[in-house]
Amino acid sequence: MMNSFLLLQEQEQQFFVKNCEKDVRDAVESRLKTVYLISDILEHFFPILSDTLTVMAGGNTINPEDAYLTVDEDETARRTPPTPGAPEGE
Amino acid sequence: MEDLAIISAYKERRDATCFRLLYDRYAAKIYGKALTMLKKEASAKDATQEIFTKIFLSLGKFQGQSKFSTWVYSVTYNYCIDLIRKEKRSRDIFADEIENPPDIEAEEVPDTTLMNIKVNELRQVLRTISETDRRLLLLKYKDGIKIKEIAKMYDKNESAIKMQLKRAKEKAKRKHEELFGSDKDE
Repeated sequence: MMNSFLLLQEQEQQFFVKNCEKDVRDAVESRLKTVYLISDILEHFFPILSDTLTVMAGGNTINPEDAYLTVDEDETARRTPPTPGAPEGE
Repeated sequence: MEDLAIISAYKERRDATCFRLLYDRYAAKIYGKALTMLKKEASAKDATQEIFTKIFLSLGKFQGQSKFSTWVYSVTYNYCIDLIRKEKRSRDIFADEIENPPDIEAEEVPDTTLMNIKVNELRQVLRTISETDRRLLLLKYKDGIKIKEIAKMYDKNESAIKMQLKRAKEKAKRKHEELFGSDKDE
C-alpha cells in the first residue's frame, strides 16, 4: 500500500491535471510563441537594420554580401528573367 | 521516447508535439514540488507556469550532462527558493536551532506512524504545524529529496537538517495524536 505522503503527492498531481493543466499549458505556449516571434524578428531584421544605420552613419557593413550589389554591379540582374517552363536564365 | 530525443527535436523544430510530451511528463510533478515549497495552490500554479516558460527558453543551456528531470527539479526548487526569499520569508525557512545544531546525531529513519495515517489526517496535521516543518517533511517524504540535497538547497549542513527533520516528525506525530487522539498505527 502506498504511504500517506505518496498518496498526497498523487492527489495533488490529480488536482493539477483536473483543474490547472490546460490553463497553464495554454499560457506557457502563448508566452513561448510571443517570445519566439520577437526573437525571430530581431534575428532576421536586426543585422540588416544595424548595417543600414552603420552605412548611413558613414561606416561599412559588418558582412558585405552580394545582396548589397546594385543593379549595375550585379551581372545576373541583366539577364532575361526566366519564363514559365523554361530553364532558369533563358 | 527519451527526454533527450524530445529535447533535441524541440530545439530543431520547436515542434508543438515535443512541447506537449515534455509538458505532460513534468507539469504535474513540477506543480507538486512547487506546492511543497509555496504552500498555496494558486502560487504553485503560477510558479509552474513561470518555471515551464523558463525551462523551455533555457533548453539551449541544457547540455545533457545530468538527467533532464534532475535539471528540471533544480530549476523548480531554485525558482521557489528565490520567490520565497523575495517575499522575505526565507529567514523562517529554518529556525536558529538550525544555525547552531545540537551535538546529538539524529537518525534518518522512516517514520511508519506518519506514513500510515490517512491522507486527510496528514493534510490536517500539515496545516497545523509550522511552515518550516511542513516543507521539510514534504521535501523528504513526498518529493523524495535526499537529506544531502535539502542541505545543499538551503546551504545548511546535513546533521542540522536531520535534526530539524526528526523534530518535525515528532511535532507532526504529537499534533496527529492531539487532533485524532490515537496511536493505533504504532
